Amino acid sequence: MSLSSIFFLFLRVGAFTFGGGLVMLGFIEKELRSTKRLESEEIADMMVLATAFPGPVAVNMAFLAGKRLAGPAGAACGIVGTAFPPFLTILLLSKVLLQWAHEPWLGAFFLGAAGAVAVIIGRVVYGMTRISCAGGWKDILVFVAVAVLLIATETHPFLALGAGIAFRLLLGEEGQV
Amino acid sequence: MNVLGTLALVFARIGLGAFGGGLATIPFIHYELVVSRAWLSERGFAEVVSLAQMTPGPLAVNAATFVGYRIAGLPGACAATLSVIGAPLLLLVSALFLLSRASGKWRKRVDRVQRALRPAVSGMLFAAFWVVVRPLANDWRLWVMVAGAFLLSRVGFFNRFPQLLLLAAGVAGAMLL
Repeated sequence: MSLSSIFFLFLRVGAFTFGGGLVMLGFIEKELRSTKRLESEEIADMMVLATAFPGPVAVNMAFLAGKRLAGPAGAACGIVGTAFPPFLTILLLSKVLLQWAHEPWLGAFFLGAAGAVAVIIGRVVYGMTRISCAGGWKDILVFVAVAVLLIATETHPFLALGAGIAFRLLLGEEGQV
Repeated sequence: MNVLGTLALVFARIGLGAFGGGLATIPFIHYELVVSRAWLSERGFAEVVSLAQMTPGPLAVNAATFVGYRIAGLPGACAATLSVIGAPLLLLVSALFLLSRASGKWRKRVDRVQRALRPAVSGMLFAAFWVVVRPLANDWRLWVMVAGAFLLSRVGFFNRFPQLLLLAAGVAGAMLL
């Protein structure tokens, strides 16, 4: 895949998405699928890594996908494409936007958009969970355990993730319990 | 240390600590910018969050550009943005390098951990999804918005251009809510 098409793929995602990193993750997934160069399981694995490492998820994902598609230069194009539009928008528009921030119609706009954000993120989570929990009840148990740790007990995400990995390893592989 | 160095250092820490995906990282960023050092007032932080909502890009990146610019102009914006992206990327690159060198017994272990990572990360993403959905739960009109957005997301047109789904939901919100 050419460097410029990688750059523009991530520029599109970087420039036309509001709603934060996880919404971007969903859009990147869609764009990557439509290039037909990657298996969906490979995309899912990249999404897992991008989320499992610290840092903005969308940037991590741009790095991983760009690298996979065109090596280090592809990774650089992906990162710049993802990060440049937000950078420029904040520099140029933050004064104007902050003046509008207290307008009631803008509040209503974002409340409405939050409905769509929930749907988009929900689909990302659903798709990833379906692939991740292909191993059966052990996977599902770990999924539930991590989610409950984070939601109900406010464990630090690092700890919750580490505990989840340890728990899954402890449960053992399929067929060799 | 000069201002740029401090900015770079603090935002490197924010990049490395912003973990767990999307809105789930807000409390940590809040702690670093408002509680730990008084770079933003509570009101300023609320402004950053709503700015981040209105502009494209991950919240951590938006916050870096905004705060960096406010404290040290364009060089500050560059320093903060580069380090919020660069520090976690450095970690990711070195981890991938180490992982790619694993062979034999270690290769197997790495693969096993990577598989164990999947359900754990899915659980973490579900928790991030929960953070988005929970505030919507108190208002039945938002349930209607979510249901509407879900139905629309099945329509081919919106499926292909999810950005338009965000926009449509926002406009519907501005008119109805």
